Amino acid sequence: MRRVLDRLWRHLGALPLAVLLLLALAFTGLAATLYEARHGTTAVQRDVYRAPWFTLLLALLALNLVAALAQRYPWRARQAGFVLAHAGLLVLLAGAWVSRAFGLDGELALPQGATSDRVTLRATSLQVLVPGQEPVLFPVAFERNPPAPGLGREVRFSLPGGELVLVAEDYGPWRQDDAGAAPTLAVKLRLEAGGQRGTSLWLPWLDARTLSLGARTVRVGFLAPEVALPFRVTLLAFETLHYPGSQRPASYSSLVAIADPERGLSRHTLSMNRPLHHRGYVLFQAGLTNTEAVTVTFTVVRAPGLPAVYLGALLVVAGTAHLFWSGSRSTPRARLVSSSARRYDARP
Amino acid sequence: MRALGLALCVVSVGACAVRADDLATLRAVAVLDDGRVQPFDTWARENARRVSGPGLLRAESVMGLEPVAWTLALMADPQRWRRAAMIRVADASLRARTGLPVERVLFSHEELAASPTLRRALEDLQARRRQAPARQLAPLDSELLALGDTLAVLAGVFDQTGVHVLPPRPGEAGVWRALSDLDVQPSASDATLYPLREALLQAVRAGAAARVGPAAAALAQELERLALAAGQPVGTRRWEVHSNRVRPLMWAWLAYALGAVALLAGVAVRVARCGRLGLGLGLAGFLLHSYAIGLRVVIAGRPPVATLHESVLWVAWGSVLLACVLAATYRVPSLVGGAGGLASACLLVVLAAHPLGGALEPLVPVLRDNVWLSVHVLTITLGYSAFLLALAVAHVALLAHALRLRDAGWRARLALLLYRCVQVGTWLGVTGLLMGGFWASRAWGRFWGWDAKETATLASLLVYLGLLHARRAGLLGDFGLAVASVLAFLGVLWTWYGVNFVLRVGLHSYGFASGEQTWLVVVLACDLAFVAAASLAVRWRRLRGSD
Repeated sequence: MRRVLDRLWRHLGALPLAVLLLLALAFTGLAATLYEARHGTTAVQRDVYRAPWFTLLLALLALNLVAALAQRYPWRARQAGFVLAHAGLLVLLAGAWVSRAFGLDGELALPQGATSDRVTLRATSLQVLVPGQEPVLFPVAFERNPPAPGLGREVRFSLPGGELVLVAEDYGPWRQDDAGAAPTLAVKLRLEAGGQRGTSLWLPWLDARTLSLGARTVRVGFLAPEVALPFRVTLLAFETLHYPGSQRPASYSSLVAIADPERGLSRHTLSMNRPLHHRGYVLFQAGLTNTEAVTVTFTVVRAPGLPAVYLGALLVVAGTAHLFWSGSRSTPRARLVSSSARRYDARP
Repeated sequence: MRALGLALCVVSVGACAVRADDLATLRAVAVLDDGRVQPFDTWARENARRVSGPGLLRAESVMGLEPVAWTLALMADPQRWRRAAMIRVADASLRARTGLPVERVLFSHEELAASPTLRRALEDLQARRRQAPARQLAPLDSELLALGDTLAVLAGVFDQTGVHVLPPRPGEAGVWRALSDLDVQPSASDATLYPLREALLQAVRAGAAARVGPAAAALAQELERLALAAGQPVGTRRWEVHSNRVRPLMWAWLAYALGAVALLAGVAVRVARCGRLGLGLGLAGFLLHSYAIGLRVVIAGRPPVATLHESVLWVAWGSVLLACVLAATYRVPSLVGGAGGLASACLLVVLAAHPLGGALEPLVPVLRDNVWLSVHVLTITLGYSAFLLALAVAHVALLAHALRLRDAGWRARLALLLYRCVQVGTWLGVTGLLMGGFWASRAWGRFWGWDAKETATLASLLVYLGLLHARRAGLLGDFGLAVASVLAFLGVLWTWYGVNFVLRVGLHSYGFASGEQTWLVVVLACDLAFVAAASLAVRWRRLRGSD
């Protein structure tokens, strides 16, 4: 058993696994760009980049890096390039994970003149208000795992208060019966308690309904979760500059006011490559809609892992340079090497 | 040393062959077209190209006249020139579609503007574009649209309503007025210009060659004075006129091509002098190429990486640069001539589209952050250069292994050069990619978002990293390294060209053009066939037991 584990460990830190993982990641990436062209950005984000198997692939790569570094410990001076490059990559991946786990990435849409402090996250959730209880939020992923009628395919949520259960029994495009409007995505819900079942209702995306079971009622919303910022943002004005004598846009800029209880009022101008930094949050101009009123969509980001990402990047660049440079220095200029002389070597 | 001397001789001989020119000052006069203030010369050449088609190697001319003289003629004698059969409609299917006589190629403006079938075809196209504005145009539709644009531009030249040479008046920033305004809105500044314009056009009309030069110079001088007052000094316009005239890119191509021929001849005939000639011409080409790029950077005010053609220009230059560095480090002079051959193929692709490397356009907003644009894009594209050079060396290596050229030691040196190219490319690519992440985290709100171009770049670099790790692990021999380097370049092609022109998705897609991919697919297919054939040859030799 111990020998098996030993061999497993050696293979985990070995070059052939690295080659395999690098090529696997490469082909996945290339295939994903094709998938994106076919099915769109949302689909590829959901089905590839945020899918569990992809995260597993990256985790395997991280494991390979850790094993490769650990197996060559203690590190010698001439291995500095190798260590920096590979440890740097680990630091970068760690920083990315920290930002993903603890950071914020959402949208704030402001019509001109409006104020808000709510950032909408790029996710879906059921928000439930049971009378007498605190409102509760269930993150859901119905696009990927749609509930369907039938045993085992329904999704159940236990509501606070102990008795009631919210059951999602179906999901798909749904049209309000009489209206001629286009169908929207909706989830079919009912309440249960003990053995009793309430009536089922379709709840469309970005809407709220009241469900009932006997005398009890519960209000449910199918919404994107929101996070409150510690300050309020107001869009004061917006401007598009064009190149002279043409319709080509040269740049966009927004004038916003920040009302912060700790830091007071301030005004800022944002433009295409000049975002607004405020208390660790960064606001970027993401998009513009020109319906009745101009509405600017801002991306609001907080990336606590960013310093680690930057550090990791620097280490990778420096380490790789050292790896290649010191390799070339030790190579004689007119070397005669036959392919059989190269052997897989566990120690670089 | 001798090679460098030869290179400098070639360049200076070329420089001496520059002629004097009557219309020199007029050429540099500012004209506003499509958002860019450019020299009259550039605008005139663009129009000439619209009318008589892109010429690969010859200078633009319409019915024997050079572009500026032709433009003046159009303005001086519009009635006669409307009837001149000067507009080339080369595509037979376009002629058929628009009801034009199929047997002729040249048409007059009058004829085309009056053709009801053409007008209907254009209106139909406009209606279709309004309905589906994002849809890519079919090639025939693009040509029809171009023809419509040509007719509109020429109409603007005939009546001078499209000749925006009058600089903005004080208080009207950005509003360049047309030359025809001199007839309808005489103001104080217009009053001085009017007689100057009349003098020039009369001289052109009368064919009085002696008077044209001074009249043009007088008008140009006054226009420049007004431009300077409006905050538009001559700046880089003279450099642009110079670049238009000298066409360093074409000469660079010629030098590279001749150098490659000399190199091949030297290899075939085994004459050392041919090899030195190849090196000298290659270096001359590199100097001219550098000059062409330098001019373009000065004129455009930004690095040469905003459009696909510009990036080809830059990448080819990077390949030759790396070849020079490796040639010096490893004492392999033939590498320069070979890289020159590679560069001549790339430049041919660029010149076929446009003599300068592409029309200069104003930058899309996201690219206006100049420093990071320079650093990030230049680094990544230099990585492509290294991979391109690796591709070329790999082809030589494949041939060498398949045909058992020279000896094992020479083939091993090829493998070493190849490995260095891949290392350089990988480092530049990884560094550039991470810089891109830094730029994205500042401009778009995230370091990495799996955007199509980001992912494709990462994927192509991962393939090369896999290649390097495999070599380290002993999984790839010298021949295997060459095969892998060729196949890995497919990833680079996908990132460089495919994502923008085949996929057309993601945040990086601003360089849209109607990419014509048939020839590319054919070239790729031939190349893969070559790789397969070489592999079979090597395998056959190994089976026969020779080494």
